[in-house]
Amino acid sequence: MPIKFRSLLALALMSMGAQVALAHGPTPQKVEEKIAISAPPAAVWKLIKDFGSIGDWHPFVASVKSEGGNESGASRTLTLKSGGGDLVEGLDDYQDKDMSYSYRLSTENHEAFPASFYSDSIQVVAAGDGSEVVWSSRFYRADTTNEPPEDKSDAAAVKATEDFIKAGLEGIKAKAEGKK
Amino acid sequence: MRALAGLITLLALSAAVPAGTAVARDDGQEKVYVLSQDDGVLSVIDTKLDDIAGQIKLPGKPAAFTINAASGEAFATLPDSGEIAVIDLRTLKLTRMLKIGGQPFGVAARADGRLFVGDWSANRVSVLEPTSGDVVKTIAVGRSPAHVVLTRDGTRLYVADREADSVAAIDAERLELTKEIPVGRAPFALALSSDEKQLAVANAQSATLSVVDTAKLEVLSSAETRAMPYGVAVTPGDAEFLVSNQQSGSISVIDAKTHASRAEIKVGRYPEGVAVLKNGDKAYVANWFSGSVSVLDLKTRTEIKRIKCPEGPRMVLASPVKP
Repeated sequence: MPIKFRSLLALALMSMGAQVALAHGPTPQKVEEKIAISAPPAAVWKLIKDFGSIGDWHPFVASVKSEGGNESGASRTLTLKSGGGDLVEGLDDYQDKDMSYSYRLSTENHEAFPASFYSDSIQVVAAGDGSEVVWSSRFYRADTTNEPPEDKSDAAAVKATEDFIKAGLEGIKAKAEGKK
Repeated sequence: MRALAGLITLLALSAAVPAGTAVARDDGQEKVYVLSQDDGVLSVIDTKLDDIAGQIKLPGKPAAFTINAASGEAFATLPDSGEIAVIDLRTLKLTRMLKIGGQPFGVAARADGRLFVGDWSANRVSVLEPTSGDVVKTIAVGRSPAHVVLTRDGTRLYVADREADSVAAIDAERLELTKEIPVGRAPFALALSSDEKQLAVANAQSATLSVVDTAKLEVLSSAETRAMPYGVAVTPGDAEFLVSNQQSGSISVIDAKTHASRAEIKVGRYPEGVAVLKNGDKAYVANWFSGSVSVLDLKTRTEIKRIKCPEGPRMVLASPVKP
């Protein structure tokens, strides 16, 4: 009986999800963060240039599975330390010359991250004697209806994005400056 | 912080150009209108000077708009509050708010005044009386209707159904669905060729442009774009498609016949809407992330100016509103 109940519950949750979940909404949000790093741009780029390397430098990421290398259409599956399952991301645009790439969320998972969709860009630029890494994100809250619960609101998505990007940039800086 | 920065931008802009001030000398010249969602401002660009010549602050966060050149009005959708703001473009004043509920997004106006409005989460198009806002009829379409476009004679409406991967063709006289046309993944923006024989559909997720034969109502051909095409326009004479590539921060100039890429023009970040002047000289691109409009010279295929505008510009339209 408990098993049957659980599957019924799962079914009920799924059908609720089907009503609420839209992979996109009408009002996008944005976050941009930068960090200055005391290391040459080429060295910083070497650290992050592989799309599947995020597990090496992002402190929130427990493990990564990647497919397709750095070609447009490649994917990576992030398992976050916070739990909640996996996030699948797809690589869209890769510019080795500009030291930048852009990717998007392919499969939404509100348990792992409270956004229904995001598309991000990360770039290494020369700044002074060292580098700067610029990370920008365009995203939609998890619940794109007009009355989202607090944990699926614009504010929740903005905070999660800011936290994730800031921690990632700190991770890159720590590694590039040899403090890890 | 961001709201504050936006407010400061707004204050700075309104100091330079008092909101609600119409263009001083209105010579009937084509103007470009830019809608900034985050700051809720409709800006008017003088296309001779390529500068902002007037602005109006709207309530909330308007997502999309249309212009009825005959009545000199603009209609901007407010998905968060379920309203449509009606603006008199001659005086740049808000004349009324239409409360229709739901999440209005794409909008088109017919010469007789009738409005066609997509509802993002209710998967329908509502047909409205523009004065009262009364809904005359609702027409069911595929999931998440994004942008809509009406033929010049007002007999057919096309709707990009983003989550359904199709474009709805609607008989705008009988007010019923004619056909759902399967296109690429996540169609978002639409543009009709000037002869209206072709409809260009930008498919955000599959990075393709579907070209629909409007007589047969089926996809004639498709072209590859860069990642996440979010805006499309057809140049006068129908020789080229201009596609905004959100992920690469560029505009692709694609040959309408061969589908070969003729040029890729760097613009601001996360570009969306694109509009071309009737004479084909210039195009204007809304750079959503950068809060600017890129002005492109279509002869030299270069960006000649970047105009700072209020935050979150997503849509641009060119229109000759006469005084």
